[in-house]
Amino acid sequence: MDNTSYIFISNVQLGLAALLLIVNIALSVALRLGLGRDLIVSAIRMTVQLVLVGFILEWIFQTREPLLIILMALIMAGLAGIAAVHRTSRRFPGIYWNSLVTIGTSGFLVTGAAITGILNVTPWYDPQYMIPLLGMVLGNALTGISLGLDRMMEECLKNRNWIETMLSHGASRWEAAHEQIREALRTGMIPTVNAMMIMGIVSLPGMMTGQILAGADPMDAVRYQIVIMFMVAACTALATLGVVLLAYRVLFSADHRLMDNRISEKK
Amino acid sequence: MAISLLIILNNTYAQENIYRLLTFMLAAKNIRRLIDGVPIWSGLSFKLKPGDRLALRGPSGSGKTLLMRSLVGLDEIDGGEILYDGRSLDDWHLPDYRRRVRYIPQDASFITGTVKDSISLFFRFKANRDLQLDEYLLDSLTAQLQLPANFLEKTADRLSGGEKQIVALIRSLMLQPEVLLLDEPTSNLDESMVSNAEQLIEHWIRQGSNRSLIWTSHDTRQLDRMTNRNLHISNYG
Repeated sequence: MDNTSYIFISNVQLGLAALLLIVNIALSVALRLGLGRDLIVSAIRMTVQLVLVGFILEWIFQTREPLLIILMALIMAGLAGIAAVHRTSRRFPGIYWNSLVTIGTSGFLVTGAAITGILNVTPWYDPQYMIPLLGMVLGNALTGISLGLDRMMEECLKNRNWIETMLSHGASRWEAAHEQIREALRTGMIPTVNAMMIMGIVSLPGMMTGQILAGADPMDAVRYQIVIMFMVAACTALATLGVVLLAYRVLFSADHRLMDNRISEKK
Repeated sequence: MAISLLIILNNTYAQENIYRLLTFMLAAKNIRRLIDGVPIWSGLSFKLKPGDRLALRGPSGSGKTLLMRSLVGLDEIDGGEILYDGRSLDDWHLPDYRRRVRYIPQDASFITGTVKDSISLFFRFKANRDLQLDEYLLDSLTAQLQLPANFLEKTADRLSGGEKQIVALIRSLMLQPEVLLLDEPTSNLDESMVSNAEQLIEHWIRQGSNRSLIWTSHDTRQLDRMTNRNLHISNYG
């Protein structure tokens, strides 16, 4: 990648970009649309968060200390695991652990395999590759986990009678849960499958656009995007499967009973 | 007399039957269930022998449904022991146990698909692998109950409450249980159907030497008709 092939953005230019939004905020205030406050808060949050992350990344990229990079990766996975649960509307005991364990395992497995087995990055902890790749698979796995968990709990509550009818006629917990597990997996994978279906036709993926803006050859950017999408799909599938199976073990007891009383509404 | 007894004892099959006649099928020993620390029932004991038809009597809210659910392990007990064939429920692989002791909930449930799909699915469970769907028997049962000819091909979730209840009964009977736990099994049926359903159950229990049932109903006359023993659980509340 040629680092000089993109236009540097100065503070003045950042301010000009903010002006785009300020026009909208002014419109909202003038027309009393009540959108101004939300827009201001979210715009400020976004700016502060990104600038902070920028400082941290800059620091990590300069020191290139493996322990620091791994710590950063662990924090990212931890935040993603917690955020995944926050997006669900119900809870069960151990839901946070389930989410953290699956997102950590699947995220590191897939990113590790891609860095060492496919891209052959040296050293393997090079933050230029590890951090953005991990970030992208985690972001998608997070959605898969929250959708899968939500659906699994919903299916168990909705089909309680049917599940118990099956159980009371000799179905094992696996036989009784099979349909709900399939539904939960399918739901968790929908965004990823849909994204792959329309990619390049309706939307140009953000990462690819970014690489092109940074001066990469479009065809090279496309190759990266394809690798990323395979990673994202693999990681989301693994994470959704893992978290749904762990939820299954909580919601169906070892003595073949539906434990729907373990599900509680979010407080 | 002595010789004939010897012959019987030498026959292992007969031995087994004598053993079962002398003992019991399903038994509860001093079982208890608490909800929020308050006992729903406690110190509850009974033995169900082959041929027994036990009426489970008690006012609404006395935990009759909860007891039935506990007897098939869908709900837990907080004390005591449930035994089947002399073995504690904890030692049973529950699907195998539920292959023998079948509970028909009051609000029977079905999958999307035809009535027949909802019946045949249950024959695919591993615990039911020794059973095969007898289509001839199924047809003759629907005819006996004077259900329309295309009844089995109907969409299951379009059935009326009464139709669901009768299909649930047929389904459980075809799965050849040893003990049936019936929770208000005819509450949604009209009068002629009630007597059909009763005949079906009567026929089932008379057909085998090793069958018994527990029945709850708000219709005390039905309990008087269909059962020969009583278990009052209001006393234990």
